[in-house]
Amino acid sequence: MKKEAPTLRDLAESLVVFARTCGADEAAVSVSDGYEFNVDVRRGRIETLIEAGSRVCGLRIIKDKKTAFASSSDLAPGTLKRLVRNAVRRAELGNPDEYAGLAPLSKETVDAESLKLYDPAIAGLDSKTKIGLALTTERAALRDKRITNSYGATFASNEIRSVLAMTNGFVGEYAQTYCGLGVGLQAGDTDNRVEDSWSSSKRHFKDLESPEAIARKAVERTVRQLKPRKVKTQNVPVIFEPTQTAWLMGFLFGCITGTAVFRKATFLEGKLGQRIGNRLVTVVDDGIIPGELGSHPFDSDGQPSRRTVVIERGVLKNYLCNHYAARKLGLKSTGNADGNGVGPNSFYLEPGTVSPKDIVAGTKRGLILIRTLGHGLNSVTGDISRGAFGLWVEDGEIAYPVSEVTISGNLGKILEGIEAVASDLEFHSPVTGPTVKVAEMTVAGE
Amino acid sequence: MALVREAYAAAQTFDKRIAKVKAHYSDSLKHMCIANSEGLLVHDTRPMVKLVCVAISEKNGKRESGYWGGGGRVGLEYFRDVLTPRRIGEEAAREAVLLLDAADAPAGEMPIVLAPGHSGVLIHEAVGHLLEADFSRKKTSVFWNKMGKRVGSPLVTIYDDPTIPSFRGSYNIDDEGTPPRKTLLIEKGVVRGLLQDKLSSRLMHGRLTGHGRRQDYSCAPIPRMANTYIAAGDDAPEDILRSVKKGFYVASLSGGQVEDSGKFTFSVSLGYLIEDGKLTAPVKQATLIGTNIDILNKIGRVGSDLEFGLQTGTCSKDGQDVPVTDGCPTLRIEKMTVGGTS
Repeated sequence: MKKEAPTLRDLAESLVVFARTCGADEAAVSVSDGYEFNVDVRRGRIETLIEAGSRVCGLRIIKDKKTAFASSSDLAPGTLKRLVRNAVRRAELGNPDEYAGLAPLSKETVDAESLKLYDPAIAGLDSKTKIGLALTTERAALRDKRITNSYGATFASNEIRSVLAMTNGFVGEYAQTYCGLGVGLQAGDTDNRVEDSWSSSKRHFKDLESPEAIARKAVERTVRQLKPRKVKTQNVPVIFEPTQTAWLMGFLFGCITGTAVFRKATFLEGKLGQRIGNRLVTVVDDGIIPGELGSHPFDSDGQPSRRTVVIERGVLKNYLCNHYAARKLGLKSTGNADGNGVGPNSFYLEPGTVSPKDIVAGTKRGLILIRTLGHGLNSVTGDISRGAFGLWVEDGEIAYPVSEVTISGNLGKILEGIEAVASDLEFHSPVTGPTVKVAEMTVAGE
Repeated sequence: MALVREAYAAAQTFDKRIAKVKAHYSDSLKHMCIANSEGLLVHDTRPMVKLVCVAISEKNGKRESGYWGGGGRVGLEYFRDVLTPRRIGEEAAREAVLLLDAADAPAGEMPIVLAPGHSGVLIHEAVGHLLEADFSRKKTSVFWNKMGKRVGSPLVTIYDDPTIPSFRGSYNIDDEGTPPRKTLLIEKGVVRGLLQDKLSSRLMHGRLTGHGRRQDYSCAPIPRMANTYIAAGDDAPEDILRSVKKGFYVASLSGGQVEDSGKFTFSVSLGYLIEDGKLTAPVKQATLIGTNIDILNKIGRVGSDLEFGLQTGTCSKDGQDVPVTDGCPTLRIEKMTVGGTS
């Protein structure tokens, strides 16, 4: 892969020049070269094994304030030249947009090396080792007699080299890796099955959780749901486990992007500078934490990554923007351009100081939310209604598992009603958060 | 571009409370060729057209959104003869405006009546997925040991038919080159069939049904649904509604999810309260949850008015998206949990 890198850069730069000669006012060209390995094993045998290389070229052409996008997985020079010519022609069909245009070249840059995004150890792993990791993880989980079936274990790894070149003179390039190991399980007989999974995903192989640790967590998360009850419909405090805070943060992200704001597709439009949550709520987007999955030296507009405080002790400080959304809203880009939209870097709720155990101990009656089913999120209103699985809490202790209920509420009210934020923040995924306790949500059951 | 502009304008001018509109048009023409070492060589050409509109309404600082769309394996005459861009824009705007005055959804167990068409999502989630053969082969599906057994009310008969002309979920050959067949899944409450791809059918010694589908060449084929529906029954839809004293009417749905145990959800984007057999107040979004065998047994009435939902649906499984359609007549479920707040 490495020896091809100069070719990628040359290709991107030459296409930028070619776009200009075709009549484009501005052009941005991204080229990436990836190698992917994925193995699924189930009940001790390989279910699927994938090794794939993929190269993609994406381009954005601006002519007379009109924009066209194009992409191709065929990087033959003839194909790409045709792609550029067609894109320039297609741009002419659109409506002029006064906000169209590339971001100005930034004076600041982030050193890709310092972000530690690439682990040569992943490239050095042979297929047998990778398959072995998946087999070992599943075997460790199946050793527990309470586990009655397996969805299988997966090991996946990726190496990607990306180049971005633009007519404003920006040229950036970096390599990144990531790998993941996980297992999904069932417990109980056919008519009373419960399921769950655990996985670890990291940029560096040495940071991956061990097969034994992953198996132990997956088993524990699965068997704790056995023999669930359905509770009566009631309003109670809900404690979100970190995996659940993660989707809540994902939903919040969708509500604070500049794109959602200018489309009026979020209930948080017009709330900049206002208090939208209580003082326990601080939310950060950070693209420059070394070694994290959400880190990159620059975004797809060529803007350097940075740390942005989105909510500071309850006050909405920033919308996350690419250059286009920022221009449209009269704001500054936050380095969150992702393809043609806005994406998160490491987007997380800052941890507090209490332990999750103490939060449960301080809850007289409530639901610990451990899994959800269904979508049920509406960014226009902030309304949430999802199928839920959890653990019922009585007098500060876990009493029994709960299933076939729903939880419902509103993100705005949740941000105001967060009563406690725990200290257990971990970056299992780029969008994440610690355990939180929400004062009240509706649990619908019988 | 004229089509997308027409839908946009229809939504924008529908009502002064419409604050923002997004209309989106896409089409594709996929040429494919499948060859295998058994001597198969087949070609197909698959068109796909889709026009959707999202409208956002605003009143006193409160916002709601509405969605409508259509398309399928059709040509552009569809937008003249079957569903006009104007109607797509208007329906999206109508739903958005209606929701401004909608009450919070109720919470708890109650009788449910499902509108025809959209509600096919229920069958897709509750039944279709768990009769995809890979889940039975792996014995993770609650249905794996239920072939020939009763799992629901005798009123319930379910098919998946990839051969319905011009539907989004239809195809001439599946992605492994197998000609598809209309497949009986549930007959009068009894499990009769599975959706098969080559791998599962070989391992299970089952008959191929032509349901091996892949998102594109870079993904492996797996058993998938195409056009899944519950067959029409005998009841007049008005009688079904009239039979419910107090309950929840599901007018439109926005998707759902199922796990292999049979627990499933679907999200209602617009509902109504039923009081004394009549629709009363419109209510906002809510998720409904149930367990499939339990709910299939609680289907008490099936209408004669089979309809199919919007031709815009996409189903996700193992990270692969494929186009699908669902259909359903008016249905009554005796009791199901509604996840509202009031």
